[in-house]
Amino acid sequence: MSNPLPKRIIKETARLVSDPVPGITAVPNEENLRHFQVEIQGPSESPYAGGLFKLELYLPEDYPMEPPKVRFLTKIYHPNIDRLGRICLDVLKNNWSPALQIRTILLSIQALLASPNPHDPLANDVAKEWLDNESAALQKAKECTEKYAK
Amino acid sequence: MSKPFFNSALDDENSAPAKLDTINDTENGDIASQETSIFDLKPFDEGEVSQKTRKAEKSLERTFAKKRQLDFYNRHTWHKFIGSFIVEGTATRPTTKPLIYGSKLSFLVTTLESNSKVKIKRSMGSLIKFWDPATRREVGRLPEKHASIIYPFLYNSDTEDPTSKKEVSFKATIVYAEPKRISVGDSFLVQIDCFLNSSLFELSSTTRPSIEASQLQNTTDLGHSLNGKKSSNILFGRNTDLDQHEEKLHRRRKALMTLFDELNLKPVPPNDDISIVSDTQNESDADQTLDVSTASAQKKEQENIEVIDLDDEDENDAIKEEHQGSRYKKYYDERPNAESSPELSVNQLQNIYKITQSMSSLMDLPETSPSGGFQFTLRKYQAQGLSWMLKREHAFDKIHDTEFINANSNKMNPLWKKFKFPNDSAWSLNKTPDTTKETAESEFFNEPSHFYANLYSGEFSLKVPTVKLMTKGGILADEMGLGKTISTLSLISTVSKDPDFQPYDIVKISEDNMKPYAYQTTLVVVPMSLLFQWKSEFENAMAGSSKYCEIFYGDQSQKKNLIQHLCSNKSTPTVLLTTYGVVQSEFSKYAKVKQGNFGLFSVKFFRLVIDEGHSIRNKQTKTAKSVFELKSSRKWVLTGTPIINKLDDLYALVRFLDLSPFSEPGFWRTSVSEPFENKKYKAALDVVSTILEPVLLRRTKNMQDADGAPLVELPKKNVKIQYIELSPLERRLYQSFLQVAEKNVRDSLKKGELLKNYSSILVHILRLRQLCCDLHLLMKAKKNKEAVQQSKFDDIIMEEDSEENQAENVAEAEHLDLAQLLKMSILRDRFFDQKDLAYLQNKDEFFGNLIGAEASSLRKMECQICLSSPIEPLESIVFTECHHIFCSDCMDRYLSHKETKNESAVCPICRTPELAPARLLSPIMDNTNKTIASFRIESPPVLEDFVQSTKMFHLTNDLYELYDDNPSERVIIFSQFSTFLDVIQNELEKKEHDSRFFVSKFDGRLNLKERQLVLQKFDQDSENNQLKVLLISLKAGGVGLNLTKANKAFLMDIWWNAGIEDQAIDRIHRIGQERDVFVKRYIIKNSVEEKMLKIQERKRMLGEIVEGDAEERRQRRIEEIKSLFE
Repeated sequence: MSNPLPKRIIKETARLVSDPVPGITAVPNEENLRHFQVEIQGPSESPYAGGLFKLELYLPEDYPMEPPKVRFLTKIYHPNIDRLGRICLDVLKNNWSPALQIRTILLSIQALLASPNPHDPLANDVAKEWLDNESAALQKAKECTEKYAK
Repeated sequence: MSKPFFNSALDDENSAPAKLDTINDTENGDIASQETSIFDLKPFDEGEVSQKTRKAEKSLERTFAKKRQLDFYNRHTWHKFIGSFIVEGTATRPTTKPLIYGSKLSFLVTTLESNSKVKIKRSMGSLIKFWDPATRREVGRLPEKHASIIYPFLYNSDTEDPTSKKEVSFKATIVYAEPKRISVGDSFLVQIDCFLNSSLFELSSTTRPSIEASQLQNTTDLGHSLNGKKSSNILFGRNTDLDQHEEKLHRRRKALMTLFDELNLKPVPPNDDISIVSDTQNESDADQTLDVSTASAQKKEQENIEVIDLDDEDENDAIKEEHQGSRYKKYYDERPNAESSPELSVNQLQNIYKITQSMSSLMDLPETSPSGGFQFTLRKYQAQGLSWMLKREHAFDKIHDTEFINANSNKMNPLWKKFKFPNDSAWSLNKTPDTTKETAESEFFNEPSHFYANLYSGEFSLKVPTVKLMTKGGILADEMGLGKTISTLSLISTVSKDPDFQPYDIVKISEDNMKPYAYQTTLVVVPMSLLFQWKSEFENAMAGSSKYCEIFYGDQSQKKNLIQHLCSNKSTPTVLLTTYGVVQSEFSKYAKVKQGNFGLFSVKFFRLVIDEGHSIRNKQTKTAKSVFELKSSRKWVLTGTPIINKLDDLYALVRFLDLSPFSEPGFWRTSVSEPFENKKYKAALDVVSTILEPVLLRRTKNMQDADGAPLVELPKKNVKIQYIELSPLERRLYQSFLQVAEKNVRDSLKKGELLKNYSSILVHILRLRQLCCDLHLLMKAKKNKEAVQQSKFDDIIMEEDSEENQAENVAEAEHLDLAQLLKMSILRDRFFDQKDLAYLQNKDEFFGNLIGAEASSLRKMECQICLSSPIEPLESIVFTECHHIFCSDCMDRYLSHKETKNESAVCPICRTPELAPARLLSPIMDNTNKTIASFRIESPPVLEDFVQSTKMFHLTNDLYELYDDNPSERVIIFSQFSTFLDVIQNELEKKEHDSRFFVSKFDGRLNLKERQLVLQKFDQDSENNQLKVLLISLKAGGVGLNLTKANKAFLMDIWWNAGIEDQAIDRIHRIGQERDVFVKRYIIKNSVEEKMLKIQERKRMLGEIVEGDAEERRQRRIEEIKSLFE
């Protein structure tokens, strides 16, 4: 038997709907309000530009003390995102703070797309490629965007 | 043959047997003729044998046979005038000649189509019309009302059988008609004389109301009338088309009532010198009459008569107008069944009890000494009780008071009324009321002058319809603690087997021809906690005799061999003990298989006793249904409280005891439930008391016997309430919870949602009550989940407070870690002193600026963790050193979360390190609550300071005192919280007490064996000077246990219902207690407990009004809750 949804989640969800972040949509699942379907537009100055990336976001039981769990559903070629869609982002792990919110997280993810960090990789081969041959990597990223995110 | 002279009117009918009145309305108006009169036939010629003559022979035979039948009937039937009424007929055909004054009319009846699937509602007026036999023409119609009276009696389904006599016959005579030709629509007056036929009084209750269809199949009930004769199936038809038949019955009943109304037949008070009395002594075993002292019987009859009038007064005027003149209609209103019938007020309950406790009859009961190896000497009232029980079982040989045995007086069934046959003034018979001659003649011919009618069911009788109870047995309803167990054991000992039964007499088995008879065994069904108590009482009482008692609790081998075991001639157990749970589970298996050896249902027992019989008060529960299915010759119910909430609680007992006819649901509904729901309390309670009085025996502790001495001498009971104060820590905690609760209540009240939030408010109150006991109760949230799950074993659940039970479950099952809650709510207690304040003001501008700032600025702030704004109350705002704001709850949660993860806390907003409670500041408002006066610092939660709750502390002290007085004393401790009992146990078993205390615990979590062990250990004398402490949970132990070895008890907490607490105290304050009893109750001052105590006292004074249904109970509880928070 689940507990009633904390007020915070309700408020956040309401704000997400009433005041959405540009380029980002987050819609809660009707059956489970802790489960969100997210779509992030690829940032314009990045190889992901023009692409629409689907993610899923889940708020665990002790949110906001624990960070939300986010994962890419759309395949993406990015050094900090592995082929399963898992994201390597400090605020999603050790740098999480209860003062952060869904919108801020999603914005951080969008920012991560704009500025990949191959020195702190999750997907090793992708990061290697990024370091070795950045232009090729960017090209590949663009191709993947065309292929999967459009 | 000599016919009584007043039968002359029948001649008309005889010559044309049942024809004119029952003919088919065919198109051409022909009379469908049967045989013509026999006198038309030529005498039988022996010589000629031809087809024709043979046919004639046969028809002659038939007519002879029929005539014989008719003659037979005529000899034994009679009509009796009961009244007449005048109706206005409306002509339907024009006539050439005017209607003749004084001419007789008959009735033309149309049969109702029985085959039609479509029910065409035809008015009665169209089905029955006036018919002039002289001209053989239809004359006119009757008014609808009168048509509906007459129709059911003239129309029989089986028109071919002349023996299906009508029960009521009518004769119509024109008494006024205009002396001119009749045209359509003209009216004329007709006097209709009504006669009751003897067949009405003989044919039995095929007109019984609402017999449940399921019962129709195999039961003998169907044919039962109060005279004991079986019914003929005539009226019932070949195929039991129930709907049609029911409808017919309905019409008939209604017709009867309207008829009686019209005729203005009023009942007369029955008198004691009833000449027509059935000879009770010689009647068959199956019958039994009421035993009631004449005095109260008379009084009761007076009340019976009053019933009608009183209820008239009760009705408001509008209804009165409607029912003007139709007294009987209101008895007959068919209402849909109410889901739950209203409950009784305590006053009404007391009235019922009073009625059944008529002191005089109780005091006059003779005493009987038990036999059969019974070891104890009974107290006077118990010996009296034994006589009463023996009488109820017809064991007259065991009672030595012949007067008592013969003291029978016939009591009339309250549903019946006595009527007097009015003087015969039937027009049609040309009779004038000539009283002296009439009565003389009628008495000469031994005609009845009175008759009895039951308008509820439509039955009539010439004999007094005494309520015949078929059951041997009854209800022993002595108050708690008066020794019902012992009384029952004495009965079992005195009459341990069926005296009328020959072991090889298979023929004499009950109606249940399939079941073998365990003629020497009494089955006793008890709640589980009492199982071993009964066994040991039996063994004590029957020590030295060969009788033994066996427990039947699910041993597989027992079940298979039960028939062999119980029905053979070898030594069988005199008592078989089992529990309600076993009975129920056996039944569910039996119901699937429906035959064969199924444990308790494979035999019929000699006697069946159910202890704490109110457990089956809800007839819809599986337990009740399974108990009803047990078969035995004699049945007893033991209960201290036969009625718990509703009058319908009694129905279950009545049903169990087979107190026909009241055990039929329809009957009960019509005679008890419906009147009660319609606020005809007196009528309902009268019926109830009539039913109960003969079968219920109740004595209370404070009654006095004939000599004025109290019935039961019990030692004194001293109850002391000790008010104690919470420790400062507890008090602070309590206050914070109280604030939350109050806020919740206030908000709900404002929104008018108190009902909606009822359960959450209950949870709040529960927490407060737990706080008063011990903080640990709040902390063991997760573990308690298992504990609170209702014990799998059958204990009596206090239904009244089931919502509170649920509240407990909710509170316990909540995921919230209450330890955290605790930490969060323990308030800060370190304040800045002035020096610090000055320092702060200087050092940190931010805070310095805030001091003196307006509250409004604080209100604008939002906690970044829970996003709530404003943060209320303002004092719970927390500032970090880096000037960021949170609410204290969020901050606490965050801090403890980090702590559990073993990470250092940083400011959630700016990540400033070293966030610690000591660095958090909260504002203190000034007295106007408008500006910030100062700040204070949070101190870390001091849970470690919490060692012992105040109640625990006082309890320990008191126990020490007792120990010093008498080290091997026995003490009982009651609490409603099993967890609290755990805490107490842990506490008392600590090393520091040097094993002074020997603690055992008895609660719902224990199974059978464990419970037995606990009780045994408690009973044993302590070997090494230890104070024996028995911890009992209120619900598990409050029932029936006998703990009289102890005389000291502590009630650790308070319950809504004082009765339950009293029951608990009764564990030690009962028969068998030799010393004075001391009870101590702990109440926390200035708390919800104190308020609940006041509520309890108020209830006690005003009398607990348990009226209304669950909804109204809720309302009352809400009022109580409001008063808690005032």
